[in-house]
Amino acid sequence: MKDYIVGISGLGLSGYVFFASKAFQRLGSGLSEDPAYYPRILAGILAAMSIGLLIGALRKRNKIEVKFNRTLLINLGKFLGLLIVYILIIVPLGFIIATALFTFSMIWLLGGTRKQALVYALPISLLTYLLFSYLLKVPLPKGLLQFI
Amino acid sequence: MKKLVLITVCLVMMAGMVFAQGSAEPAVASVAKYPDGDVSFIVPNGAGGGNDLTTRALIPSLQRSFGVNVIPLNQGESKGAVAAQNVMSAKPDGRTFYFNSQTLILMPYGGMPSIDLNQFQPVAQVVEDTGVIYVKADSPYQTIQQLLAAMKSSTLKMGHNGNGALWHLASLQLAKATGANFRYIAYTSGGTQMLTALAAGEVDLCIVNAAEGRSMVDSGLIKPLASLGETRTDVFTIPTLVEAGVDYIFPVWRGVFTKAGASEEILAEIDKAFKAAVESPEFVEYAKNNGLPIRYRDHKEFSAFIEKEKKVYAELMGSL
Amino acid sequence: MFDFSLYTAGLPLMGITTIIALIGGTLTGIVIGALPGLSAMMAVSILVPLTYGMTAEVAILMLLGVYCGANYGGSIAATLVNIPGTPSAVMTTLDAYPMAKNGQAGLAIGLATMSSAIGGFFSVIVLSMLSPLIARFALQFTSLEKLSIAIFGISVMAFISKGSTVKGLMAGIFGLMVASMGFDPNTSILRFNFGSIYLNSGVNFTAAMIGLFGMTEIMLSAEKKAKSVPDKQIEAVKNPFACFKYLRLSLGNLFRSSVIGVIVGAIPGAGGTIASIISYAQQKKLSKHPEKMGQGAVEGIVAAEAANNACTGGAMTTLLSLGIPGDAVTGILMGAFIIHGLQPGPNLFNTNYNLISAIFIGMFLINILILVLGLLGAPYFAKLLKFPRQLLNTVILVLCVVGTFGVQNSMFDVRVMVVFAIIGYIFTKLEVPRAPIVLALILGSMMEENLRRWLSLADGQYWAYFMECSRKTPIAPIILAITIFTLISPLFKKTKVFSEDALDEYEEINKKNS
Repeated sequence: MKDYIVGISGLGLSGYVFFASKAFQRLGSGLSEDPAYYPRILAGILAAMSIGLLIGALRKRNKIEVKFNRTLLINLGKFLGLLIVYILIIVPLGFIIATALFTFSMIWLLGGTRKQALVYALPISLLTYLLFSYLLKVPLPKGLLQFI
Repeated sequence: MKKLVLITVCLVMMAGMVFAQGSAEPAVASVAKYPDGDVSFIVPNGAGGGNDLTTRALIPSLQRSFGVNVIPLNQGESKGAVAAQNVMSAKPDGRTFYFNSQTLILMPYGGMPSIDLNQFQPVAQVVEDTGVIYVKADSPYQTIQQLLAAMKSSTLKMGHNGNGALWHLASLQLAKATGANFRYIAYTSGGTQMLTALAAGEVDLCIVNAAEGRSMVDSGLIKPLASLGETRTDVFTIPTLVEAGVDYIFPVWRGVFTKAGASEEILAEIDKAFKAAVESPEFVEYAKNNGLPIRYRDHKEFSAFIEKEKKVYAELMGSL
Repeated sequence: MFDFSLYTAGLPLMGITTIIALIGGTLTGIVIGALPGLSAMMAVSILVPLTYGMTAEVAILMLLGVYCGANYGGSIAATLVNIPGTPSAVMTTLDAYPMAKNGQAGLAIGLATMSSAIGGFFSVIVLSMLSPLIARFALQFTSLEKLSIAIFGISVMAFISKGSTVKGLMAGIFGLMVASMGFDPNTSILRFNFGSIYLNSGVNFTAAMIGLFGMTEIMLSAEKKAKSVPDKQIEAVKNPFACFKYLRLSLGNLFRSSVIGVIVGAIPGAGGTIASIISYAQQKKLSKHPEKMGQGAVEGIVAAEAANNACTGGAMTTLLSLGIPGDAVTGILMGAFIIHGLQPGPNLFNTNYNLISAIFIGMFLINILILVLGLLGAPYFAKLLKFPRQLLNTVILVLCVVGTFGVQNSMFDVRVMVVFAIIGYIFTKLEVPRAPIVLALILGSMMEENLRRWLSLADGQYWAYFMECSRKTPIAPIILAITIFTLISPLFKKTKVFSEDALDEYEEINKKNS
């Protein structure tokens, strides 16, 4: 099953690269002046391998097993959701607030206790902020806390 | 219970997003004093490169003059296009500086038509560098005269740092001035790679500035033949191309820009600060160690100069 | 007359900050390596951003400390809880854990420390002797040679990575495709930028790497709701110094294993895991008591640990002299070099002579540090294994985000990082190896640039120009021939490549032990 997915995605990707590269402007007649030349070689090799993989999978006739673990997917969804929200709020809210909220929820999501989450969220956020903006001179977004 | 709190936290975060979007832009009061907060200095290259080091050498003195933090921001992505875009979308309060060379003027021609040069206010030129023509150490062309003669009689392989980039332009202009016909070979990763290839004999000649070639000249791998400046370079004892009888100079300027629209008073303040920075001991020593000739122009001179440069490049890029 | 300046020129760079960074890096490396699930790759990738504000030599030496330290640190968890702290400590578990169960945890850790340090020493000596020579030679390389080295690197790497070769190669091609995004190197025409100026020069390497190796790891461990290890009894660590009694007996073994480590390390894509597997298998063949290996034999620990640490010098040799990373971690290190404005490769010996020298001296010191910190600190490292995982994982997530942002102050890069984390996760689920992507991202631009440049040099006369280049130096055709041979050899032989037998054996012994 896994091999089928990999093979088909590989074919899809090489098809995309092949057709998307049609649009590139050519500056001259030589191969070196054709921006599509190299991506197409890659697309060709990828397509060949995908087909090889698919044929191999067909010949093995693996029983098609689809393991679909619902809790796992939900957990993953929560994890990614939290991460994406975090990235979106860093700039408007500022690093310190966003990170404190994020660490709080993430420690919890990963199975920590509520106490751990409460105790560690703010220190982690503040320490990272201090480390990066003072020691390493990376200017982190201040957001709501413009005054610091 | 746990779920409930998680959801609440998420909601708070979301609310924060919406709320903050509205209020993230604090109203800018009319500027009584310049600068009224930290200044950011955008470098269109990664940390450690030539432009980055030059910027960082200016900063200590700028901080003394302005009395606020001057924060260098390295934004090397997309060959500096993102950095240029960020300057264009900055506020015209003179608190965003941007360091670049001719590369800025070339951007609109090099696949980045969204860069609008009128959005950049020239602030100060700090360096006037130039290119040096290098050949392999054991090249058949040991003097500039031999090389010029060979250029005319055969097609030499000329290394450059990418189509439409600085040294590509220098070589195109050289070809125009001498009537030579080169075969151009691109080394997009930049000077070092190009000089290594020159030393390995893959190309016949290339043009890079003096500072970048110095270490390889010292190791005896390559040889400088002539410089493209108005005056001779301090780094090598070689003639200028004009002395060799070709009427062609290629000044490489590096300078500072800000978002267009800052008032004359602010620009005057900035002039003072940059003049002091260019003359500061830190910068003078840096320039000396790195073989960079200092050349200061204030914002008026520099603007006039840039206008002239824009015309030169428009004509040149049009003729390609 | 031998010129010693290469070994002393770096001394002025070894100021107090550098030494502190070196010690800090090594210690951090050992700690991260000791925690199961955090590999050397991840350690270096999340720490690269910490070095932005530092000068190049401080940054590089700190990261080298992390790299070597993490490689060694893996043996601690291997000994105490039978879980390799980093993948390369796989073979160490075989003998170190049984030994620890017999109440000799101290001796096992001591042996691992001693062998790691000696293997490391040996590899640094090889590095400092060979890399200047190779570099001088490599300065003559033109586009064709560089192209063939890149092709070789990518095919070998896909070949030896875990799991199916075809999938490994496909991952490699995927990486090459990603690397081809942005300006075309020859004509500066834009490709695959999806209409965003942020992608004009393609995907930022550091962001992709932090995603693939930092964040993906956390995702994988998060879905397991990873418990911290200590459900198991951790043996007390006593008297690690006893290991020196075995030093004389193991000299031959140490030397052999170090040689294997250095050679495997120098092959692009092959790292500590493969080195220790080969060296362990070799030792078993030569051993007087092969039946005792896997039950707490001294020689087993020595063979595995000496080999996996000797890899570090081998991998650095190719990185410094050819500009080709010897394994995925050095690939990330190469990214760090570039962030600091340095292009690893033969020319570095001209432009940054002092830095190269400092790297040699620094790696010597790092191995001394491993010996000292390992022997003195062993009892304390054991306690680390009790650290609550959810806290650690959260901190790492935050570091991944901030670190990526810091590369070029760009939130766009953070998004790229998350996308690559998801890609990495999916790849792992589909059993496609991730390591080839990293190497392909690094070698990709080298490959296309040189290919296209060679084509433009050839000017239409491809075959004639190839022959002309080959007459000058036959290096390129030789490398290409080796590449073709490695790619087609499995078609003719039914035997498994790189003794996967040893891995099977590992699983067998492991079953017995637990």
